Amino acid sequence: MQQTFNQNRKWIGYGLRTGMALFAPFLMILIPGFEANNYTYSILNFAMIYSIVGIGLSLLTGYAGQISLGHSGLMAIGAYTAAQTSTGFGMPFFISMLIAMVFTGFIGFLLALPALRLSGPYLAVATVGFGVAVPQIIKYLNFRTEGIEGLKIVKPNLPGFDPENDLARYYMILPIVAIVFFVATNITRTKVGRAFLAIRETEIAAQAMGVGLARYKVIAFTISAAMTGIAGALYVGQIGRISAEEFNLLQSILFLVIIAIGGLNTLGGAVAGALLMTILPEFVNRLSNFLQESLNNAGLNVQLKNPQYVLYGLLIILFVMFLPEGLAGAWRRFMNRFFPEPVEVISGLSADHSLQEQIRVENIEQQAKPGLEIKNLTMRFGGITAVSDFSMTLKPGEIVGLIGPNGAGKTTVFNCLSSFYRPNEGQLMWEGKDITNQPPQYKLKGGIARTFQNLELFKNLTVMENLLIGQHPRLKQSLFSSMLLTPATRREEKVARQRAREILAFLEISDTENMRPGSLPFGKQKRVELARALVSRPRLILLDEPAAGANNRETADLAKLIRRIRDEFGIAILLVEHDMSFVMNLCERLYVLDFGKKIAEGTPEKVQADPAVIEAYLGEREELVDSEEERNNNEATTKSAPERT
Amino acid sequence: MMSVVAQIDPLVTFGQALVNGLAFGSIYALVALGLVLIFKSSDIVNFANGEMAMFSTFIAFAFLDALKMPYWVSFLGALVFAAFLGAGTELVLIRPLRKASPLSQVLVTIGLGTLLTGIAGWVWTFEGKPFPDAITGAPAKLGSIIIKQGDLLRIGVAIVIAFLLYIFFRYTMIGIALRGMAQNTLAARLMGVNTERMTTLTWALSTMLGAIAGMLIAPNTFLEPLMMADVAIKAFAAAVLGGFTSMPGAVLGGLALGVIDNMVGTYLSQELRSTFAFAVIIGVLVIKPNGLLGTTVKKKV
Repeated sequence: MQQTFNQNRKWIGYGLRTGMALFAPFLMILIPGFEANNYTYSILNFAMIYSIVGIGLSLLTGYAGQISLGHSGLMAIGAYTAAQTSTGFGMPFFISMLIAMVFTGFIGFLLALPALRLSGPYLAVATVGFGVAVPQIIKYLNFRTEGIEGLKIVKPNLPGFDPENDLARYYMILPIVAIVFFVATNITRTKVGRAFLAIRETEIAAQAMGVGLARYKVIAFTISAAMTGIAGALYVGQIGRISAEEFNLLQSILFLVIIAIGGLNTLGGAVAGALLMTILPEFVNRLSNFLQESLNNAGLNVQLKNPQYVLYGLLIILFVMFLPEGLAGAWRRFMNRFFPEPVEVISGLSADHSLQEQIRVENIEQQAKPGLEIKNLTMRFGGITAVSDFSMTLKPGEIVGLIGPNGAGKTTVFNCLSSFYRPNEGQLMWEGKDITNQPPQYKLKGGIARTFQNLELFKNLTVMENLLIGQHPRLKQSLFSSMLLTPATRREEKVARQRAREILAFLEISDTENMRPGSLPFGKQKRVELARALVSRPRLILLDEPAAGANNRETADLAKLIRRIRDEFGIAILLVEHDMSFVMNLCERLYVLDFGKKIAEGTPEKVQADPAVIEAYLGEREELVDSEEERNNNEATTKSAPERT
Repeated sequence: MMSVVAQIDPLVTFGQALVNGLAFGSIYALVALGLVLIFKSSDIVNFANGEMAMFSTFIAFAFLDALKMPYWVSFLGALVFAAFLGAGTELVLIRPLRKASPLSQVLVTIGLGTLLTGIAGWVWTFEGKPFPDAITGAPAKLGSIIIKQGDLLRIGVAIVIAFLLYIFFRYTMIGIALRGMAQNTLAARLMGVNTERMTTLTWALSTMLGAIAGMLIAPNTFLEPLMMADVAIKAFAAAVLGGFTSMPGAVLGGLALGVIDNMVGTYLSQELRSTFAFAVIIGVLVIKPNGLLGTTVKKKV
């Protein structure tokens, strides 16, 4: 019985939530203090409306990491658009709501434009400014506001019901909430949602994974705003009138509080937070009235006015300090404690080499093309020339090493190849195309993947999520197909997971699938990063110090693995490394940099004998010759610390 | 409004707007300095800054009103309270969250601000109370431009404090240690700087700056729990305008915002004052994403 329950946990959860949503008004009046009247149902309706804002804000702030203190302004725009089009132009409410959605979404799109250049407190101020400006502009324009009462509209309701019937209106609002929830959930489970998470975690790695920052920030703002526009329309429909003053900074803060209390990264949490933040103040009002009377009766003249300030303040502090994962996190912990999720058995994947085969065939087709060609690359930082007139080539399927003492400019070459730096002079050619000025997010699509010397993993996401983000440019789903979770999208997601598992099995780290890279030892993190590069089906991988921090045995395994990647997948490798024996054994050709200049190139044998190289490594000459022996004497030696660039 | 303005010498109108702007701007600058100090030491935007200032001002009010103390005793009493409030906030709320997400850190300060507003409302009600000016007397005149004594004081105090802070950060051991810490916490700790105590100190210092601002502006706005809400937003905007990591930027941003705000109010539109002020700020930020004097911190890979 227990077993069956665990396996069906997901479906029982869905059923429970659907049931609760359908019967919410009846559950609500079971709460002591709430009677079966319009007032009670109106509270529930506000909770639903705030849920929509919460879901939208959760996508933007919780998932994409873009803080907004201006959502009250967006809600005001939605509310006024709906009021103006419905009562003003006499459109049916539903149409007005859609217009509000589209128009507010468009404003969100405009709001995203300054946000593209801003982050942290700067972005917060830009959104605060927006939130402050909107009500001022609305008041200034003075359109259709009728004195202190504000703009009045006919309250919408289900056909055939009294406009004042808040119970019926609940069933008008509920399907809209359900649709918003459905769309948002689909977004979070597919390509677009993962792109949001990637941007939140680290913008550098997101770009390296082919996630265009501008594109996805704009998408996040637009979707979030469109949802808030729907909420604004419903809000004015619920109240029947609006005035600009209601949409103030305190309201924007309330929205943030809703998602913080619910749990930042969950959409269900936004709904839970909205319910709590609308129902709880009712209780506190009653409680404080009661307290007030008792205190007055006791002869103390205390005014417990506006208890919501103390309540909000205390709730925020307590949740942030003691329950940072919010209601949703607490619920998940409770469920995992009593109904642990069944362990998924992953079997027989390592035997399946379909992916390897596919990538190899794809890559062999490219063999005829020229590989990588760097022509006269020069990169200066202020007065320092980090790389000077550097040229090199790499043929498809080749393993080439880039070596040199600390500060020789090796990683700078990599950063130019990934477009994190724009070279001052020179040209970068890849498969016959000039990629010198191509933005970083196009590299992966073009077939160039990379790893970083200090790791740029998405530490707070699971290894699986990391590998799914690695496939970002390969996935064909569009924003709309991912919003609606079309069968094609569903299939593509399944294949993507399968691919990720195959790569994990190939690199012998299948056990880490559901772990977070932040909790893994350094060596495994490096493998996860390699897996993330590999899963994107590249034709060239740039490895920045793959052996750093590894001991001898790990280094030997790594060399074998890299050779297998080349042989079995047909992927070319360009690597920067300090470990000489590793480089000499693995690479077919080497380029040696010193102070940004190329001092030698050729086979390992030729390079080792080159006087200029010996000169550059003066004092390290011994290591070049005797490294093998020295290694064997000291099993546990770790390699040089990561180089600074 | 415009018709009244039109009859007066345009130069006087301009001068008056400038003086009023500088007086408001001085307050913004003080609060903005506090925000920047905290941001530099703990990487947190303290959204409770305004409310902490408001609460400290209420403490001064309690000294004046309930205990019938002279102004300067009340002023010092509020400063001592502010120091404890700031240090206590850092110790109790901020330090445990040092490793939490930036959003959690921001939220906890929002929570504190809201809580302080609520408590002040319960103790002192939400009705505005008069708060005395530190100095009274006939307003000074510069030609036809009227400068209230209080405004003179605001501008004067801002200049003196900016100067004192400059001396403090430039020439004292603690000040230099703080600057070092802001650049590289780990290196500062390795050099023997007690970074934890330093962080607590900046919170105390910043809250005292806010308290001074609160006591200077209360005579203008009336004392009530929400009196700093607008000032705090403007100060935040001012700090961003100047560059959130720069103390001279905070002063510059504060004064600039005060002047822009008043100029817009005088010449363009009283209703759209804040809208224009924010439009200017967003405009500046789009061109200079780190504010006027802020520095870029770019991560290397």
